Amino acid sequence: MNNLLITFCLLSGAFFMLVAAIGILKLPDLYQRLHASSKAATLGVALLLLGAALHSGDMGVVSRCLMAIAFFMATAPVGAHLITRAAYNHNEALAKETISDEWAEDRKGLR
Amino acid sequence: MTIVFIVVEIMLAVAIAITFIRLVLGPTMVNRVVALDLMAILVVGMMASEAVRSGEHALLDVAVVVGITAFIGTVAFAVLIDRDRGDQQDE
Repeated sequence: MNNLLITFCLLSGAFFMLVAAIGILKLPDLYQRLHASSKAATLGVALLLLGAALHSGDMGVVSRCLMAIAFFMATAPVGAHLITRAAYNHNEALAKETISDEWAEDRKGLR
Repeated sequence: MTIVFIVVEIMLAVAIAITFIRLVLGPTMVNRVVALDLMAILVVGMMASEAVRSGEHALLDVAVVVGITAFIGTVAFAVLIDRDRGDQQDE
């Protein structure tokens, strides 16, 4: 039972990380690529670390894994937000399919 | 159980290779920063799976440090890119 759970965690974590990598290659613009990398990769690494925590059964390792999961969950949105803002300020192109750019409208009002 | 680790590590290796393609192609610097950040997270995942496979749990500490370094690097690149734009506006 425990082995089954560890296997599930490792395989689904690797799957989500592969999805993140495919997303970063296939999606059309930076903002969508960041969406793939920050969400799917965070879930993938959390699942892999959870698998490691379940496998060890040692309290020290479990607490370190949980701390790492909390760290990734806390820092991924911060990093993604900073990168997105820097890219937008740098006039990074939006995809052709974009239908709404509310920030641009706000900035027109300011200028 | 062995085949699970082979499958997991092959999936992660393919993911790193795909991300490397984006790192090489990436039209702008920001794209490359995102690809580098994802690569660091993929390396952390690989270290976690390797820690389970070999039973060497010290690798998890290394993985945490790699994650922290990647985050600091991403933030530093974001600030650098933002500041670059600020200099252009001042001129």
